[in-house]
Amino acid sequence: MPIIEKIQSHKTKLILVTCIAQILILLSLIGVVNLILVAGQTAMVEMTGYDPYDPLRGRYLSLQLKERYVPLDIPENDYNDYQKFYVVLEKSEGSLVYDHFSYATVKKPDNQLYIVCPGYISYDYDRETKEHTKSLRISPNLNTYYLNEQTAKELDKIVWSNDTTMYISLKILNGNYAIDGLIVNGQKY
Amino acid sequence: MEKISNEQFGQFIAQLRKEHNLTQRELAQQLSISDKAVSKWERGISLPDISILLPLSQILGVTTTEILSAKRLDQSTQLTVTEIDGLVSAVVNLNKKEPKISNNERLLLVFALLAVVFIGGGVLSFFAYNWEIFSRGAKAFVALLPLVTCQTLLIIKTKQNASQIWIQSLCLAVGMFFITALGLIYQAYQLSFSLNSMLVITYMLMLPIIYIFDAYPLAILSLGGVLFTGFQFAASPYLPILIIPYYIYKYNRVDRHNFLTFMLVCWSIMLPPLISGEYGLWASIMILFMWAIQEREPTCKNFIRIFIYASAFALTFVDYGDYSEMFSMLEPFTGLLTFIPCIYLFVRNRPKTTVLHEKLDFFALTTLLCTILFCTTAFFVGTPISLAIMEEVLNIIMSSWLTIIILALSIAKITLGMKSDNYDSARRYITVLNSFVLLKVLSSNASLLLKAATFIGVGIALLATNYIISKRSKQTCQ
Repeated sequence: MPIIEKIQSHKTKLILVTCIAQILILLSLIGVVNLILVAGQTAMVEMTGYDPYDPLRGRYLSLQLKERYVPLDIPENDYNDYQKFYVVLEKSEGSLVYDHFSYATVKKPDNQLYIVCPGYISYDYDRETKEHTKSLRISPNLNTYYLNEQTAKELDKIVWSNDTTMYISLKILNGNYAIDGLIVNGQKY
Repeated sequence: MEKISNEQFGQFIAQLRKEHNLTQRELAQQLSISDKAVSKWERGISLPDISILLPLSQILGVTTTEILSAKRLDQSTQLTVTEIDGLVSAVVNLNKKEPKISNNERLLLVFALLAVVFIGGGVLSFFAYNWEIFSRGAKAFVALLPLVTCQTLLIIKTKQNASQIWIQSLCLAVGMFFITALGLIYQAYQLSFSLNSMLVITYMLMLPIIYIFDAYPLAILSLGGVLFTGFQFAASPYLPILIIPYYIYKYNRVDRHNFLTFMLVCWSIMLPPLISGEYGLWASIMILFMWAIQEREPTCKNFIRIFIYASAFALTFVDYGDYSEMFSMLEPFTGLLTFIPCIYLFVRNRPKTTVLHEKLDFFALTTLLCTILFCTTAFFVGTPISLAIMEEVLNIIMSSWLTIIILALSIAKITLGMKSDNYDSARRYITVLNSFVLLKVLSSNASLLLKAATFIGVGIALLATNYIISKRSKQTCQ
């Protein structure tokens, strides 16, 4: 009997397994995010953004890190194109929360708060020292924040203003992170 | 007398055919019948006509009694007249019970499926509005509810051996509501994954349903999603391979597989690095559109012809990448180079008919192609008017002319179809009209709620069309 006909002869069992697998995958997404939100440490990173639209997921605020380049602390050529980097967060002087990325590395840092994310290595030429310096353009998945249409339109106008400050609130657990909220000019969305 | 079922009968014929190293096509040719008929016997959907039993038994090297009993009999077995009578009447009774799927039922299924897609899309957009009154947990619950409902219904209807309209619509609904749930969970939990990753996950999780239920419409929808991603992921160029066993299965059973063929052809076009996913998609849209408005059988010959038109259209928009220098000198004439042969082919293949329907098709396609030819050529050759103004003017001409052609042709065809009881044509153009309204609303700056309402409205309109046409066809039969 061909394999597809064999599959079809166990319809009821297989459809049950498939449906359960589908639900489990969706629930695991929710579970992972909830775990990070409950057990993770808080960080707030400054962002910039604009308001685009996605036909399947509605209106959202597209975000970008204000400081996308971080110093790179790795030995020469100790990385590849698909490398995941550990990007370490630090607190500014007087700050109660982690508020900026300090450096990136390929070795897991000890006793420090970090996120794991992809990045692109950028080379700059320093005319004074006549040396090439390396930095990392980090690309964490923090580029969308979903809002309803009305709020998204209002925020779209606000975020273009030069004196707007926008922070994204994150919860971080073992390098994994979840978005907890968006704070624009002191107001949480 | 032991009762035989359609399935036993089919399995016995398939076994004998394989023993004689015959394909379904070869057996059908020897019996001067269609290969679809053989496929239907073997799947237990129908039984052979009584007049075919003798030649069938001769070809398969068994007796008619063995065919009727659906098993090999001992040479010494002597059946009584009563037993033979019993076998013949059992087959005649099975033939009476044979579920015949009429063209009307097939169309009912197509419309029911389209309605599911649109209502699903509407529900999706409705929740994508992101209601602030709901908490994250409530949004997740709302996201999962339609999916779990559809899954439960699918399990129940499978146990009840419900009709294919139910099963196929529910399979499609599971696909729609899975991607809805995924989208809403992404949104509610602020996950930053792309639409492309959602489509790939949906494709992977829909594969078991496609295989279990022979869910052809779901296969098209899921594979379409992967092709839409334009291979943004390292693995996605290879993912369509997973559907090939299903395609072979459909092909061997001589089931409908035209759209799957078409999508796999698109896949093979998208693979070469010269043509990106975006242009493959363009070609797909044009092929589908031309296919939709040409009332011809989707034969291989027609497919190739339509494919040439669409590829020609897609080529005019292709970024030639590394070969741009080579092609730059040809660029001003791209429109002429692609559309003159295209129109020549089209005119040469024009339907030599007096039927108004076919004349309308020909008129609409010719005017459409001529408009595109004019605009593309005018744009590339250039005029003293600045490029921005030129582009604006051409856009207006194209969009208004296209609107007029589609609206006029659809309304004319729907009216003609209803008057002449050609419901196939009427339904086809109701779909074209609805799709056009959808595209217009989707490409506008209308709010998400209005878009959601349009989606649901179109879904309901399709169901209403099903209802009205079914009622009218019943009245006609009476």
